[in-house]
Amino acid sequence: MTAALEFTAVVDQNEYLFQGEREVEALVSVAAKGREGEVEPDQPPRAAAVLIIDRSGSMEMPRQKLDKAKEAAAAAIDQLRDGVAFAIVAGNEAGEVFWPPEGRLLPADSGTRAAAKEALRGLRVAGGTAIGQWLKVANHLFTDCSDAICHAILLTDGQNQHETPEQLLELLGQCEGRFTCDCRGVGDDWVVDELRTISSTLLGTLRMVPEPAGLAEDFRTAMEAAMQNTVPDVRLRISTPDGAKVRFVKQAYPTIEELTDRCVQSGPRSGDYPTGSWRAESRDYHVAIDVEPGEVGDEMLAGRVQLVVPRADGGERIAGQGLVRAVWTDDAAESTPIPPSLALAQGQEELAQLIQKGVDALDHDDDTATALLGQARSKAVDLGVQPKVDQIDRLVDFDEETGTFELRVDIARRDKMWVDVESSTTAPPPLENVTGPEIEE
Amino acid sequence: MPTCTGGHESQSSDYCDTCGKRFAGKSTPQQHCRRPSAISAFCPSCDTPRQGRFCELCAYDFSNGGSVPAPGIQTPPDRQENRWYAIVTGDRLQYELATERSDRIAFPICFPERRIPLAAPRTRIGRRRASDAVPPEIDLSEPPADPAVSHHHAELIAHDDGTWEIVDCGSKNGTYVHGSTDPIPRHTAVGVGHGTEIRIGAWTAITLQKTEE
Repeated sequence: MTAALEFTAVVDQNEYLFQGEREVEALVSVAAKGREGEVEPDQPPRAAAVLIIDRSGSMEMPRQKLDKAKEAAAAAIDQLRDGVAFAIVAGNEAGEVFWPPEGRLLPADSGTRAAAKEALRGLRVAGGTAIGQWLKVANHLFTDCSDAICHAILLTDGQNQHETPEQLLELLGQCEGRFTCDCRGVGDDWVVDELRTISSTLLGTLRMVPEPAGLAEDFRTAMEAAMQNTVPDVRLRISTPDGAKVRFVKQAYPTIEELTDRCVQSGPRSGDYPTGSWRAESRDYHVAIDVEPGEVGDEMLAGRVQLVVPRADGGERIAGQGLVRAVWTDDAAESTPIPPSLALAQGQEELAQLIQKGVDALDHDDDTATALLGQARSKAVDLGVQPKVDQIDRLVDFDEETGTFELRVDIARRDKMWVDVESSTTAPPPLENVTGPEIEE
Repeated sequence: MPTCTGGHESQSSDYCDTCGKRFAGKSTPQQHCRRPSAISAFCPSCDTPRQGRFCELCAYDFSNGGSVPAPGIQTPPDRQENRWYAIVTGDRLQYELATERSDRIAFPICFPERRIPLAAPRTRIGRRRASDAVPPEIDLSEPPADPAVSHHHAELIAHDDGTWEIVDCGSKNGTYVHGSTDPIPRHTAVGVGHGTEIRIGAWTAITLQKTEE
């Protein structure tokens, strides 16, 4: 399988450090675009896809939920490219391969797609929930697919009740790095943190689908996007000189993800951070490196950031590079400014923390929740990220005249969950001079 | 392999692998430019101050580096076979949802259904302002005017492959699609198609319709 994407990494930083300073921070924007003329068009990458559908008893309360879930699975199946190996896993307190009867992946074609959709009509539900078991079955299905792009979409309506958090984490650990998983929670009976742990560890997306009617479109879009992934297992490699240490690596856009602890040593001075599968898209990484301070006027490379892509022959290819530099100065005017994109990334990370803590506090302490969400709203306004202001406004009432906030009186669980889920989504740099919402007369 | 001033042999020739010092005489190989979506306050095409995704004057599209639709009628290939229409009606459900907190607006007594052909790659939806040189293609200031629709409420975008998207351009009261009671996020393209109902304002429902000719 040939890598079909070209990566560019652009580093945004103020490379000037005041004398004696040792903390270097940068925003690395990585963009992947299709490579012209190097991939044979009739050889798309090998891919495998598993749909994991919740079959616990609650899925038919109401009946419409199950019907819509089946429609959604069918919509996803219709998006499969011919040749993509696929299967359907159904789960309650156990997991099983629901289709095909052979219990392994089958290549998609008009016959298998029709057979799978027909089988879905007969899906019956009963029982509880142990999501780790479902992932285990999916993991097993992907056994002979290490050179393919392996992807799963998981749908649940509830929370684990037949598995401990430790058991889930253990099973998740076995799946890590073997396939990516997009998680979807329908309705408002599931637990955001539970699904977020799964989507984060398995480098996928998390979405809330409040109404079953929205499932089909969501699944269609998710599978369509997955079919556009052409390069699996892309890693961000950061090489630092002796005496320097990476303090953290976080994905800043499109969602906030902590990558620092997932570092795998790849050389005496370099570590690799996993980023999963890519299609033509762009993602930003917020990187911080601590260095030994140099003399005024010294210039040093604090970190070499490279995109590492697996090759068909088992080797690797460096697909893009950015340099994080450090130059020492005794002029504070040079070292003080922060590039707006970096300031925004830092601000949105703080904002996400405030929102998540505020949402957590809603369960037990209204005063703390009001304070945190109020702070979050002010911060969102300062950063100019209107979508975040709108999200927080689902939970607080802001009085423009007095500048005060109050928690809304009857906060629906689904609004709380929506804000929680969206808290890790970030906005790209804001548009300047955008007019606010229209004032009617 | 070059050797740096500190005495280290290095695989890389721009900066020393071991101590990070720059090799003398090597110009910095890599650009430190702003990300491509760096904030530009003015339209690069006509210098109008930027107010959203599309330039108010010349339709420059900031989100994709300005693929400006050519002047004159440009029919994307799909629309040579199919014609698209927007059916504009008054919707009771939208009225219920929109006027929950306000009794000021009365549902219109009579609502003639309007069928607006969609012939351009972009269709603006909103209430005409007196100062508008060209009114929005779907103009909700026509009686019965929906007061809760913004002047520049949303835009429908057609792609060459026959797919459509709607973008809320920063409306006050939101844009709702696919039966959802949550508004779509502002300034974000959302896929719509034949049969999709778009609800805005106090009662307006716009349904996309594709007919074969």
